[in-house]
Amino acid sequence: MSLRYSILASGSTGNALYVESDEHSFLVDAGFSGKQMESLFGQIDRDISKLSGIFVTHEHSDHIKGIGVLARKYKLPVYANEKTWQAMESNVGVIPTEQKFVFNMETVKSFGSVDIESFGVSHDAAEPMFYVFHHSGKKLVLITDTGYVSDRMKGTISNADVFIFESNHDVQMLRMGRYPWNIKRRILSDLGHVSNEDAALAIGDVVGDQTKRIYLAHLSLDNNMKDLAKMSVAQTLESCGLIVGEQFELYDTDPKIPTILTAV
Amino acid sequence: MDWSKIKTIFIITFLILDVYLLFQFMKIRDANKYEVITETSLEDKLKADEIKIDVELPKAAIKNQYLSAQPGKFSKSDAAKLKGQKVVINESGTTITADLENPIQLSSKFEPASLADFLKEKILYGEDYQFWEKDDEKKTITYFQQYDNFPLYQNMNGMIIFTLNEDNQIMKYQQTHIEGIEKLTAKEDVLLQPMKAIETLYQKGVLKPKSKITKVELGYSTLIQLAASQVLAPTWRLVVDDKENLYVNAFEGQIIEFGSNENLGAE
Repeated sequence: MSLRYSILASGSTGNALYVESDEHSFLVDAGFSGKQMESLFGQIDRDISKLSGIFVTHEHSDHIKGIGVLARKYKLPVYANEKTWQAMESNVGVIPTEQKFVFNMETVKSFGSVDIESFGVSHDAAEPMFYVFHHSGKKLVLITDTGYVSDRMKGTISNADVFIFESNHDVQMLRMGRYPWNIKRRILSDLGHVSNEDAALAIGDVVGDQTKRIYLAHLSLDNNMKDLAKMSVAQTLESCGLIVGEQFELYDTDPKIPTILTAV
Repeated sequence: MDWSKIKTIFIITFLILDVYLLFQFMKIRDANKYEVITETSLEDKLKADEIKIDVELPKAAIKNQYLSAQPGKFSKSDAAKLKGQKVVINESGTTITADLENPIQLSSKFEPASLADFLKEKILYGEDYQFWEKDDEKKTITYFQQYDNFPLYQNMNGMIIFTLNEDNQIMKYQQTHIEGIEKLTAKEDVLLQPMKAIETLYQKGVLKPKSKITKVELGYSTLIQLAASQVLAPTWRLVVDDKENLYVNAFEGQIIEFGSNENLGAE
């Protein structure tokens, strides 16, 4: 009995995480068109129609683009909190009422042996929240799209076996970049995204004995690089006394290519 | 008065007025039709401000990429190689300070070529550096490290500063050296044309009227300083009137201002 996962894609162009146990399979966000989502599932040799549910983090288009299409086509249950349902209603189209489920923040839903826990993050959306998957004492955390990582969030996510952690931008690259100032300010704000350095500092606070893998996710195409994110996070962790490769490994994620299906 | 006459006078009057207005309308429309909205080109603006480009600008698209690098560490065995020098390596191992037992006499008009042999034979990795400037006030001669023949501008982790005495002799030097320079991203990207850099400098008022661009060169500058390494970005260097250096990030087009309080060996 194990929990397996694949980060189907991660970045500002779209996000999707696939998680499965022996009995159930879950999708967190569907930030691509229906066709692209089908292609991503094809790449990990999994069937969308078998999903037990789609779990929505927030209503931004890079997280919900394919929700409506997939829900209607495969008759899948969709879970989101009330405010997110309201905020995304016009963008996902009509989803039959019997497929719409409310999953409020700071609550847990159980699917067989898998417990899915939701927790709030700080982002400029209606009521953004992310998820922790618990299974047989193991823990997988997804946390992206947050301007900062609070002590409360750290308490919820600490000592996970697997972290999928936002490492959105390098502050200097963002400042040097061509984005308009209001966008830069938004990204850097408490309701924006976590930088490489801030991600590393937060990771340093939450890694524990159980932690084996950390994936750097939601990397900005314009204001970050895979090598840079890994280098920056690894060096900051090293300065906190945490050596990558000793207890845990550090990986990057891709905006188009799924990670291989891996057991937690 | 006869009503039908009044009506006729009104009709004729308004007919004349309509013809006049139509004539005026056609006249204005024709005038507008041939009015070409011209925006002054950058070249014309520079010409108007008497800014001259006294150098051939590369026109072909240039591809380049970010680099990563680390401050190199000197060892005791490195120091032992330096004969005729009293060598001290700082605690972190990144800076050599060397006093020359036999000072090098320089001619009154310094030529970088006169130090070429000394660099090659008496200084660790001496061939990695290229002359930057001689400061007569501070009595220093500065060299910066290069990568693939591109200078690493103002890089405190890759430089040599020679100190001169009153007799124009090199007495000592301090050296840092960057190592492990690697291309950071797999994919190369096309750099902004130098003309775009000139445009940015002009628009921001950094390029002053009546100035002359005397040199345009591509190198690298430190974009990101991490805990143990740095990221270098392709950078256009424009020399104005043979004395002022202006730098523009060759990917993003932002003007780079180097801090004036950076010290040799800063990590």
